Amino acid sequence: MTGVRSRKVARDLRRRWGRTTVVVAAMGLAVLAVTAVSTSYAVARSQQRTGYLATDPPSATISARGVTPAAAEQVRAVPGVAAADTSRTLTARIRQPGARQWEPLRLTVRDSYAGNRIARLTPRDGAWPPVDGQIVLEQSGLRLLDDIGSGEHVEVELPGLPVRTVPIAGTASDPGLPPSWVEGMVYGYVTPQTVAGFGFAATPAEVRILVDGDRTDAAHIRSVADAVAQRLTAAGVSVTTVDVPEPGAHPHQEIMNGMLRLELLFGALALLLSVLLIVTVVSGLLAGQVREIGTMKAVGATWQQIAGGYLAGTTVLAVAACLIGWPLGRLAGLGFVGFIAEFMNFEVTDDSMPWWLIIAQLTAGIVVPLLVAAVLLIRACRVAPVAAMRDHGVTAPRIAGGGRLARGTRLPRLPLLGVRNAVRRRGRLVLASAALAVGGAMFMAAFNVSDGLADTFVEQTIAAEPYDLTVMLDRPYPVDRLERAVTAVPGIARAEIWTSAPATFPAGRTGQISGVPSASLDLRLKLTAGRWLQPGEQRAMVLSADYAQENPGATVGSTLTTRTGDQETGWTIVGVAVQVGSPSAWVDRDELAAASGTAGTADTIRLISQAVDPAPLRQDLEKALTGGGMAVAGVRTQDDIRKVLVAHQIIFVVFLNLVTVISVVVGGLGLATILTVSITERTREIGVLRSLGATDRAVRGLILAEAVTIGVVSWLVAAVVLAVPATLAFGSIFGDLLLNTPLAVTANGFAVVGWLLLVCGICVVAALLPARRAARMTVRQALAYE
Amino acid sequence: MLSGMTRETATDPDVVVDVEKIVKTYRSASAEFRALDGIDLQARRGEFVAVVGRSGSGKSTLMNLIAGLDQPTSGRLRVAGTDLEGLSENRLAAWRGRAVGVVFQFFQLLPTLTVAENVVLPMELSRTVGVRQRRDRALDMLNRVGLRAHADKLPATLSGGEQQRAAIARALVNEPPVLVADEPTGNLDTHTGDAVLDLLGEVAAAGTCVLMVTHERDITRWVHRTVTLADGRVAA
Repeated sequence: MTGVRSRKVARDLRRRWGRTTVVVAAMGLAVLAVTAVSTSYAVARSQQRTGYLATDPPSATISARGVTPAAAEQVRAVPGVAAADTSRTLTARIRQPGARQWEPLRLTVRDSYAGNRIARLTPRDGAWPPVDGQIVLEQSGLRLLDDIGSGEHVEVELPGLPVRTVPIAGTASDPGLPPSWVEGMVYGYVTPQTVAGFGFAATPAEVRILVDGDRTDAAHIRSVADAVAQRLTAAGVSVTTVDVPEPGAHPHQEIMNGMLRLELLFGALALLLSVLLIVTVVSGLLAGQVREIGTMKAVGATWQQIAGGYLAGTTVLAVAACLIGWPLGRLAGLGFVGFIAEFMNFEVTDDSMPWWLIIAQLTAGIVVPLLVAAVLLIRACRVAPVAAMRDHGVTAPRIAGGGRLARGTRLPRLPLLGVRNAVRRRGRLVLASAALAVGGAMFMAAFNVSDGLADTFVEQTIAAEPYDLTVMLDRPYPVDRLERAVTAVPGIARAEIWTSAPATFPAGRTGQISGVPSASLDLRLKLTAGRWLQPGEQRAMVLSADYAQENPGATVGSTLTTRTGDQETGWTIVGVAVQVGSPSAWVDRDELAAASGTAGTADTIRLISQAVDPAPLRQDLEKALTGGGMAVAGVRTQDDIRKVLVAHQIIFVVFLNLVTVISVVVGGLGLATILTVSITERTREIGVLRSLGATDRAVRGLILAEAVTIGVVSWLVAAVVLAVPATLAFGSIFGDLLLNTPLAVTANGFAVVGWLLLVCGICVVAALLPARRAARMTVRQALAYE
Repeated sequence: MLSGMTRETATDPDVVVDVEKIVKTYRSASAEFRALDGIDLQARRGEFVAVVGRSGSGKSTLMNLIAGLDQPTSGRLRVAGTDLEGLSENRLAAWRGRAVGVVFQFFQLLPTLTVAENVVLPMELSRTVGVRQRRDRALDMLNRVGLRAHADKLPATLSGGEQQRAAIARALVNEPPVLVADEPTGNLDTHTGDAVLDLLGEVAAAGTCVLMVTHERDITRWVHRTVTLADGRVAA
């Protein structure tokens, strides 16, 4: 493209600087959205994986009783074992000195941390490793302890032992653990001597191994882990479970995978919205140029010459949009990575992206507008010059019923004209309302799915197990002793004695089985197949949907064999239930106790309080249990469980909110562009109206009526056509991710009405500037407009 | 040279506009409107022809067809030695750049280009003149229409008459054999309109065939002949 045409492009962009700014902002927003999504996807994916794998997470964990140093040494000699260590995990409680509220504490006791090769921790603050008499806390737990820090003290209580005050030696990061604020549990690290000072002899009960060779080969790991278990058994150690987690998978890997899948979905949506927005703004730009294109053709311009000029202009705009949108998109993407990292408890040490991704982002930012412009230019250039030069941007209404709009209504003429103007150009109405409608559908889906999350994930989970208080004991105690303690405490409406046992499932994953009273009055789990346990039934099991999915063939009526220690037990699956987290299955309490070699005992009390506040009950029950010689390992109220559930879903709620905000901004910008173009095209018409006596207010009203009409059309499309499939899609993804069943989503009335009000508000804001411009035009200017 | 003329003259090299039995029909959802109904017309180099008639008689349609701005429904069009039948929009545009200059009632100058740049544009599009000579040529042309002093102004700063003269300069800069002007004085006052007609007369005298649609009644002192259209046919 040579001199005059390039000057024309530059001046066209300068002359309409307001519109040029809107176009660059719109394209920049599109680049921002696509860059943010792809950046956060790429960085989070690589950092979570490399950050976690860099710690060398254990290939397998063997739970056992009576692990001696000699046995541990033998494990290291097993072929295929690259490293092995022993530890003991204790359930305890922790709080700030003097605080009323205890927080659950998972205390890791290990001989030596210094030479540790497995699941290495990264020191963050203070001293590392923990020395005798002190504790190191995992850094994500500080939030639960009012941001306490190194050098300060905490109170720690082991079940049945006096409370001890311990100095915090330092903090460390453990990417292998879900964050404390999500799990509602603090993690601490101490030496055996420290707990010995508490009065507890912590003999190792876990052997962690790291295998040689391919650490992603589950079969290889399983064979080495089984060999280790056999070696331990031969050494006189009683092996309880052999846990082989999915190689390389973080404990929250499924949530992470789901999040990444959602990001891909959102990326596709962002791309769709971006294309819609770019189509809107580029067609807006070209609409103002139709007559000039006609003139250029009249003086001999071929379509290639015309297209060359406009594509050069589009390239300038796209490059400007990339210069603004790309760095902001990268910042936004890294911000979201930071949030994901906090949620997943990993640290971002390298935020670089592969070069090809950067090129892809920038290419998309430039190529997409160029492709859109090329398609639109081909259309614009096809118009015969004589028709192009006649173009005033106005045609007769082509929407069915347009004529009736004029005749069959008692609306005042000017607002009616605004409504008819909105439907004059069907393609433009579709474009403007499509971007807003997609935004509206996202808005409504976000509310519906948030409700579904709150209802299905949080409230239904709590309603399924409506116990005010769950008291976990340090070990199983005779059921009659537990019942006596419960009977001695006033204010209990109903109590159930439960028990639990770890088990290895056929797929190799370890899980917790709950032993419940078959005639439980209060447990109301949602069954996806089969039925609940019946009193007197032999070896019946209700399996969680999560485990049913992991164990192929585990359907109602089939037999599933679990292993606890040396003992294998076959269970007949009678039902499959929806469950968040633990346990993995439910069986009759007495049968589970018998299968675990602890017949007649139980380790959990679940109760419903007569009073609204179960706090006094908690203290009385703890006192009664302690008085009966039983040690409490942990207590969870319904509020504690609710907090954990809410924390687990927060990442999705944040994600949905982001989707909504971007959709709203994109829709608003698209509409503003359309209105500006529409008003420019009808400048002469506005002049005629003013010559007929239309006041500033009337002209503004005309533009606002047009904008609101587009908004209402988009709202109808969003509410009637798009919101339901969008809600079902998100509900299905989130439900599968969190519950292995689609979320029960319902329409949120507030969202439907709220979006109508919001979209009208967006339309008014988007129309303000164009309306002001139209109202300020003099009759002379408007009528003389070419 | 009007309707009924023998076709032998079509091979005359001086005949630069040869219209034969041209029909143009517009169709809408409800009706069909025949804007031109079998028009025959020929014009020679250096001839200044006025096409007159009432509103809706088909004058502008005829001019648009001759300039290749629109396509006929049927009939034959040969302009500046080229048969326009079957030419694509793109070929027509390239042809128009060299063969026909077009002047509009509303000037249609590109508002973001200066007057000189508007005149340079057809040379740039058609590559008829070397890059270095284009501006000089444009200035010469503007000098010819009395606008040399306004060369670097934007069109919006010029009066209507000045804008129309600039448009004529733009139409003539590639020295086309045919100049089509659609009501070039329709948007100008009488004095300015006369000046524009003087200019078009000079253009014709220099050898260009000028076809002009006009509403002006007293144009005989400028034009060589007048063609009157009525209801899409040649009336006189």
